[in-house]
Amino acid sequence: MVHSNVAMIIGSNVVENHPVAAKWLTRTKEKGAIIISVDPRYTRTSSFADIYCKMRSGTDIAFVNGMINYALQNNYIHRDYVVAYTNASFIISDKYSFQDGLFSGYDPSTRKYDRASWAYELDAQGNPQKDPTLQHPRCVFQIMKKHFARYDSETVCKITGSPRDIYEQVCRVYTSTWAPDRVGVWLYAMGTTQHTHGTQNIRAYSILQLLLGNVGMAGGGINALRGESNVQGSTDMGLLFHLLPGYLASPTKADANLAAYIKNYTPKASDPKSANWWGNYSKYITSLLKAWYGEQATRENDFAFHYLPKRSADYSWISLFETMYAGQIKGLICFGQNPAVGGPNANKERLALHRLEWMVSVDLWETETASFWKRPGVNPADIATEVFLLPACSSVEKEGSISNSGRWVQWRHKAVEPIGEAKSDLWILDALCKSVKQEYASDGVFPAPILHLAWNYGNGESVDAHREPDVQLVAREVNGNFTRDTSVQGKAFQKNDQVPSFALLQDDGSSSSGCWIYCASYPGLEAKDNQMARRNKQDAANNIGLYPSWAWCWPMNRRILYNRASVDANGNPWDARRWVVRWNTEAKRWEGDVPDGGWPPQEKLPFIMKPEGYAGLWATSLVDGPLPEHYEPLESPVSNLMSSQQVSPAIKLWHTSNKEMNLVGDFARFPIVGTTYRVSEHWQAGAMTRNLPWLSELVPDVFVEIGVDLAQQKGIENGNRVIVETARGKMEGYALVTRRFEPFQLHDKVVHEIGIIWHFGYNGLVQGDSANVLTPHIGDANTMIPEFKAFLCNVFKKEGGA
Amino acid sequence: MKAMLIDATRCVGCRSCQIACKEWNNLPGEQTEFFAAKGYQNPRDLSAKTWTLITYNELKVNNRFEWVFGKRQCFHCQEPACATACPVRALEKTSAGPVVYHPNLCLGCRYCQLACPFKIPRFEWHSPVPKITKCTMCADRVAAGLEPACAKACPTDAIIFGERETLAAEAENRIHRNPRGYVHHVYGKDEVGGTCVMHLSNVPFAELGFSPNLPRRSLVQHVQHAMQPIPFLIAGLGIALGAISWIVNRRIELQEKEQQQCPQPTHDSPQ
Amino acid sequence: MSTTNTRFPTIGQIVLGLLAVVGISLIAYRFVYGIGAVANLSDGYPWGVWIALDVLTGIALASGGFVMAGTIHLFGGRKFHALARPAILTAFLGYLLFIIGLLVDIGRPWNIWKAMYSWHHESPMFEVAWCVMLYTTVLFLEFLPAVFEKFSLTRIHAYWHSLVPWLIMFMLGFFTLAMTYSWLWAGIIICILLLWELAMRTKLMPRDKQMPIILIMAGVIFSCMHQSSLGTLFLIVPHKLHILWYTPILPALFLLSAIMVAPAMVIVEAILTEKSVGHKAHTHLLSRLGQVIPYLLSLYLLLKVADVVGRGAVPYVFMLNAQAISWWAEITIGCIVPIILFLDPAICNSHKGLLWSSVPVIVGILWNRMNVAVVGIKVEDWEIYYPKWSELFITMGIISIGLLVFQILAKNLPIYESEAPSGAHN
Ligand SMILES: Nc1nc2c(c(=O)[nH]1)N[C@H]1C(S)=C(S)[C@@H](COP(=O)(O)OP(=O)(O)OC[C@H]3O[C@@H](n4cnc5c(=O)[nH]c(N)nc54)[C@H](O)[C@@H]3O)O[C@H]1N2
Ligand SMILES: Nc1nc2c(c(=O)[nH]1)N[C@H]1C(S)=C(S)[C@@H](COP(=O)(O)OP(=O)(O)OC[C@H]3O[C@@H](n4cnc5c(=O)[nH]c(N)nc54)[C@H](O)[C@@H]3O)O[C@H]1N2
Ligand code: SF4
Ligand code: SF4
Ligand code: SF4
Ligand code: SF4
Ligand code: SF4
Ligand SMILES: [Mo]
Repeated sequence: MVHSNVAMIIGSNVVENHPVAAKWLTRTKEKGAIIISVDPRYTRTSSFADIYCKMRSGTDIAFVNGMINYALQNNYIHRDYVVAYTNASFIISDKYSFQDGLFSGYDPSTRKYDRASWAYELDAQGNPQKDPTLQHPRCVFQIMKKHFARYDSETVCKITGSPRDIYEQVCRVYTSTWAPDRVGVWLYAMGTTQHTHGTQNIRAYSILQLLLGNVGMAGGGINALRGESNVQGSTDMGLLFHLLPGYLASPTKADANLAAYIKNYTPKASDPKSANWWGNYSKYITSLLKAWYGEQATRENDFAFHYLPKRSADYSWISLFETMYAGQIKGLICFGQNPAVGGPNANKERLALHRLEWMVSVDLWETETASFWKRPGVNPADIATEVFLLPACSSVEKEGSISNSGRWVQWRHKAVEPIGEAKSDLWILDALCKSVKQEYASDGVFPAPILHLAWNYGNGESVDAHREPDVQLVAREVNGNFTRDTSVQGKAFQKNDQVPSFALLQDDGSSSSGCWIYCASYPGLEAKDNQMARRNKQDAANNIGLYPSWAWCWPMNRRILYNRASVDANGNPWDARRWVVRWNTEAKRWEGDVPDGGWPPQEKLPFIMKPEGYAGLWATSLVDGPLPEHYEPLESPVSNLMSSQQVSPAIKLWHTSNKEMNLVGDFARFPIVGTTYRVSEHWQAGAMTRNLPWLSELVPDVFVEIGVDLAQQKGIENGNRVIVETARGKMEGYALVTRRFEPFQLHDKVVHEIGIIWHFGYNGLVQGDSANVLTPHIGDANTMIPEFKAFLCNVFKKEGGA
Repeated sequence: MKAMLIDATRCVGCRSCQIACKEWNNLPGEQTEFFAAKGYQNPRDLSAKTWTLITYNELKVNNRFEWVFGKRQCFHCQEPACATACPVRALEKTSAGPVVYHPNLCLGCRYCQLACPFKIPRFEWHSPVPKITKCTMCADRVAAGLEPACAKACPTDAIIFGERETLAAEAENRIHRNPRGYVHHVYGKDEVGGTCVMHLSNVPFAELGFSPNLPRRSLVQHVQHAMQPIPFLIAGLGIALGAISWIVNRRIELQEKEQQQCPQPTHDSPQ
Repeated sequence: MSTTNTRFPTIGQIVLGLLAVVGISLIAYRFVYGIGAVANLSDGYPWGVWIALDVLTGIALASGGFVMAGTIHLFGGRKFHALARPAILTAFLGYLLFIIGLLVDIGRPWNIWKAMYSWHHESPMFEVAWCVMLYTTVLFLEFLPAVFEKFSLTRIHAYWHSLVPWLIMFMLGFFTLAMTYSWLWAGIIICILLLWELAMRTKLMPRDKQMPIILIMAGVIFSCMHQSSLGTLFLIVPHKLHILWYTPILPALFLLSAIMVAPAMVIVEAILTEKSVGHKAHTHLLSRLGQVIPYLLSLYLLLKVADVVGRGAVPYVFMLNAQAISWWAEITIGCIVPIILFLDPAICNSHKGLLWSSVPVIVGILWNRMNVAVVGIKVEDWEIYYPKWSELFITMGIISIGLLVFQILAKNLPIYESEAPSGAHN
């Protein structure tokens, strides 16, 4: 970020929620960069920014599509980059069409797209046909031009409610980074993702960044400011419901055996210039199975592939809780999670917990979830769920790694001893696994996947309260080793040697790796080989702040992804002042950051994780369209100005399938847009901060931010108690009347928005109503992330309240 | 002489500093309800439990809406009024910079509270063994070669710590480099004789709740003017009273001698 | 000694006793739960009625001691002799009460003795503390003869008389040292006093046969010093004290106002104690005193107005805010009204007239000190201060104790002389 000329912060409140990232923004600002903040309300980030533009919640696509249009119309694009590294020149099937908000291939009965018509036109070798002049009417570039032309600034502002002059200023300033020697950085977080079209929001961001040539550059890229301190690590390790570690797909019923699985997920590329890294899929899954089942995973038994559970349904959050509500889930383990506060439509999700037979909460505190059975308004006698509370110790009381938004994996040492009976999560998991193994040893359906797990973390066979598992062993397993003496690419390795790079992983069972992208993080057997624990402040040759010997970064300690896009065809940096990598013609090697593959410049294409090797302006992988198109949130105060498709056509509508407790509100009763967000002073569902007197002092209760105009209309004064209501629930809080929330002038009406912090619940030192009793069960078409950021509500002054 | 420079244009109001201060100095949390002042400000004011406070100021500057954050804490004046006021040297300006407090000397007279131009010292009103409290510039950390807790915690380097001259120069430099981004004034550089905590801002300091128009010269001089003549006064009074009483009583004595029949003084000298 | 038989205890004494008990209980409570438990004082108003009433006003009102003693023994006002002892006793008790009040008001009274060794001569508070300590000692010494007489301790009285001058020389010398950190200055002061004493001993200079002159002189010096220093206390807050009161001549105003309130105090006290102590007030002396008052008041008023004009603060006088109103009240009640009243000879010659004209002078001083210490201090918007009931009851309790002690002492010691100008004692 320090190298950016312009920073766009949209859908994130960096300053409040990622203060350390803000430090780097400060530095770049000091060097003259322009900071733009786009947010429905004026935040602490906006106060820090040079330009603030307001925008109604749920209209990011319109906002950014307008910017893309501005860039395309004015030719503010980095053309060489676009032609060389993106699929702008690819020619699309003539069956593709777009009409009234619908892409071709839509089936209204299933609410799904058949994506065949979005495909590239292939040549004889099976490579996409291209027109490097970008003139072909069916090339991606021309299709885009046409698609985005509909988003002129006037229309955009009618949708978003942004002031037109400021919006145009934003377009002008940001697209100025098309010049090769100017770089723009794009920052986003939950303001972007928590929508029914969250993934397409990010698509829109990526398209603009690619057109401007800002990806792969120092000071560029699109940067998700990730949330929970180790959320990056948790997704790396496969905690998402549809993934295995290292972003391998979790198998479904369609994947009958390992071969079928590999075939289904390995992309093919016929262009010899495409590195097509995912072509190595088989090596990664096999190494993973070897890590899990060790000796029990052999070529003969398909490396124990059949032990893996096969996904048979949608396991996303909302779906899980709907299923739980329907009484079809028996037990729940909440490992450091507090759904009674953090889950959408909390009234329903709290009730869903009643239907469980048992629930375990592993947490530092007794959270609202752990005490759902004695919450205000319920009678514990009516609830049959058996609840266990396992005290966990906090991050400073244990050792381990933590992965940040920049994929840096840092090793942390234990600072203090755990308090009371608290145990590390590793100990708890280890004990749990050992106990379950014991149970299955005597009895159980299909015990092999459990009994055959390779499980040895150095603290014995049985559960011992006083012996911690060895976390170094876990880290080494994650890296992986050779399971027999072997030689790879001409190098000889012995059994139990650590694998030094994922390029050396094999699919013949000779290597193991618990998470292939972490391979190289622990290349030796000594504690000193732990790359994650490195603390060397020496910078790389390019002096752009990569600090390659500080901790470790996946993949292969590469600090900037797709860095080969930061150079031209000859390996010369687009911007020599802040180069990331460059080709040394004499030494015939790259210098600077670890490149995306060591091939000489022309030999391979830079986007190595894409089958074609090109960055995708056009995407066929998403279920809701190849290009971003504006749809309104599920609950919206206006009808969609762009088409007759009010909401994204590909989302699952829970209010039609599971009607109970899934009411949707309308504009007549709920004329105000509501959104939820965080403050610096509290953490998430609040257990971590509402139990601390210092932080409770700063923000002692829920507050609702209300603009001055709306407050006047409603007779609300600062500090009044107010009630906020949606179709699903109501809550109470203090009114914070502020000029920071302004009304939006839309095409046919003025609309007000209010915002509520969602950190509160009925436990802790300070308590308050949870904002999530307001939010709906509706998720993004691709990721199923709930739409926390836009819904309809109403607000009243509480009668008799102060 | 160590000092701190606080740049409001860099401050993002995250309040890490406010918490870090409590953390380092072991200060308890205060009971609050909603927000005590504008924006998210809490508590309302400094107190014995709160030695530094971020204020939230929603302003219209040059027709632009601005949300600016100010930091309140002791200024560690070069010539501190509080220390001058203190009858027993319980407050002391150290040569390292911090103005520190010695509770073992303090009488609890609270004259320091009255004297401080920045309304900084606080008193433990509800303790039977009350102390005066205020930011110490983390004198214990400074003595150990560390920077103050709040400066350490600040994620955006809005608070920096260093030699006073260096920081004053840096402050001037920032204004010079970005003349439109700052009010052309380093608050604390000259106020009341100069302070060891200096502030930069992009809005007039009065808008952030800083007392405007404080004299450049130290407040101490006002008292000094009145205190310096003391020995002359004692001597002068001694001589003058002596002379007057001599003259007056001499005259009375002479008068008395003239009218020999005058009654004797009421009480005889016991001698 | 003139004592009249009155019923014991009187209603008044019962009330005073009750007030004293309440006060003492509240003080005990304060020492367990902190000042905040009994007072509305806050960080915005660190000084409230205790300082304004007990300290600033109390000390000003106790000025009768040094003013009368000085007038009688130094300035040849021997005719007022009869008023000396009561004034000294009032002052002595006043200072004792003030010290008790101070011990309640300061947060860490157990540290008070630290002022003896942790010197900070730059602080006006340090000077006040020392002066008060030393002046109370002086008052004690001035008060002792009444005790000696009562118990006919002639020998001790004689020792006292010869020792006191040396003690005073030491005290003033030490005080000078503490204020200047300079042996030279201490030496100079001691030399002056030594010369004087020697002059008197060698009969070069006339010498008061009852009171060691130097003792009286020390009383005047200490008083002048700390009466004015109470004003100096506020010189450090030009930014906080309202322009109507903040002036570099504040020390002079404090001193002058303390002097001018002295005769009024003596008058009120003499008349009020008539009944309770049962002596007969010396009306002619009191009316002589009353005649001086308007001149003193006019001088003070003149100075004050000139000061306000000189500093360009006139517009603030005519603003409609609490401060301006309070300023007018102070001036009107404390100066203008009594000047007019005292200029009427009829009033000056009647007990009632004297009493009711003196009271506003006293109220005026009280008002002035309240203005300086509380009303005129600028604080945050949300800070308001009004004394808590317990705060007032503590003050009243302390005063009640003082009044009771005064009655007892006045009845049992030769404090009041009879009306006879001869002043012969019984
Ligand atoms: N102090 C603190 N820091 C945190 C967290 C915390 O709880 N407390 N949580 C962490 C976690 S897990 C996460 S995921 C991140 C989240 O980090 P952020 O995404 O920054 O968090 P939010 O405050 O939820 O939302 C950001 C902004 O989105 C705005 N917004 C609302 N609706 C829209 C919209 O439709 N479009 C756009 N563009 N913006 C909109 C809101 O006004 C809000 O200012 O923060 C992490 N950091
Ligand atoms: N309305 C609304 N709802 C939202 C959001 C929103 O923006 N608006 N944001 C959503 C987002 S982005 C997120 S990430 C979720 C977060 O929702 P949750 O993850 O449910 O919320 P947290 O409070 O972070 O829960 C983490 C718990 O882990 C515990 N913990 C901390 N350290 C450890 C440890 O080392 N071990 C164990 N076992 N426990 C530990 C903490 O005490 C805490 O109770 O909420 C979502 N909910
Ligand atoms: S991860 Fe920790 S240090 Fe970093 S911004 Fe968040 S709270 Fe601060
Ligand atoms: S700011 Fe106040 S408390 Fe701090 S050193 Fe200056 S006078 Fe003393
Ligand atoms: S309260 Fe204590 S520190 Fe303050 S002036 Fe009085 S003695 Fe000094
Ligand atoms: S310098 Fe230390 S004591 Fe002062 S505000 Fe900062 S952390 Fe608190
Ligand atoms: S820590 Fe720094 S940025 Fe945060 S409020 Fe304090 S001064 Fe401002
Ligand atoms: Mo998150």
